[in-house]
Amino acid sequence: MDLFHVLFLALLQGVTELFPVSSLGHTVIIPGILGWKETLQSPTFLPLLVTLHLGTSVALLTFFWRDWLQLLRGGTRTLVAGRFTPDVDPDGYGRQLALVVVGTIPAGIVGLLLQKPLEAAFSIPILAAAFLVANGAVLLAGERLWRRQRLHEKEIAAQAPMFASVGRSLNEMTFWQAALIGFAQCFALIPGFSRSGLTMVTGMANGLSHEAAARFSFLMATPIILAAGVLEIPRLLTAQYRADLPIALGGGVVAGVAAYLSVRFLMKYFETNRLDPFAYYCVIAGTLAFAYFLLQFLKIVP
Amino acid sequence: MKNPWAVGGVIAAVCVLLAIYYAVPGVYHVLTFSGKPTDPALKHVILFAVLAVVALVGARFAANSRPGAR
Repeated sequence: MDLFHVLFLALLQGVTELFPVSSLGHTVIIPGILGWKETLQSPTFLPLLVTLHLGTSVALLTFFWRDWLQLLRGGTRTLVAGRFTPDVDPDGYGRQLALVVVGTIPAGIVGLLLQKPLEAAFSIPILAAAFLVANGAVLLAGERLWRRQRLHEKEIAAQAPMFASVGRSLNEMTFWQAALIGFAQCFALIPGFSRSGLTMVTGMANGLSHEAAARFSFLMATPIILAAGVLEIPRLLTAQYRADLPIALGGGVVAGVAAYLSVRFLMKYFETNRLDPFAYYCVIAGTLAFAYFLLQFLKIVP
Repeated sequence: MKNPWAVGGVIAAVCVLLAIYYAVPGVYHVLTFSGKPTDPALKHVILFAVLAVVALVGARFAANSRPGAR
């Protein structure tokens, strides 16, 4: 594997996995533009993909370690008691862990059973570019809907303050809403649609604040991305891939650092800001990429 | 949910059967895409075994949250 390709792909994965702009879409579109198709299709690409996922999940675990500790403590207490009552789960962490588990199930099932056929069917650069535009449209629509809901709630709150619930927290989320966010996550198997974008928009459509939706999205991402990496480790240690392991591990470290800085930035960003800039980026980048691939198909550009 | 244990039990039983199906070698396993389709599919076995446990745990929580359960 070319070292420059590895570093570039590691940075790309680390950043785009967590930003709501579709990492899968970018790994289809950008090598398509740069002519790196061979790199992605080479058999030695697997170790790199695994270490990139492991690097990203380690970054998420590192950033959210306090959250995970509290979730696991709360989860253990509620699991032993078998209920979520305030005496057992006063801060709601046990219930939040259950919400993460429920949200992870749909993508776990669909990902394992259908990931490869879906990727094979949709990993065409021009399609990924079109879906990136669609992803931008979803983010824009989600943001607009959220603003409208909040405006409506403020009007109600002005008349009757007891009904105010501007930007709910995770403790107010239902299990059905967690499952719905989990189903939205399944669409991210299609290159161009962003996992974090779709889960955030679905969370916000269910009344969560930007920050709570982002936090739930990243917490939900950790077991999925970690499992995707860990389950491939035995294959990674076979003789076929051993030679490429050091360079792949280097890529994993780069992806991890990029992912850590990304999640740190995003959690700060979503305290006050909105999804619009990412939506505009997806629409513009997707449209330009679509135009490029169309011109390439028409043999107007090489 | 009228009887969480019944619903959870049925889901868990289906998951256990699917886990066994994917664990048995020599049988054609649908929706497996790495290795030979007749080899045991470890990832599928783990997934369905975990889902069976989650179904039973969920049933326990649902049963305990019913009015008059405690």
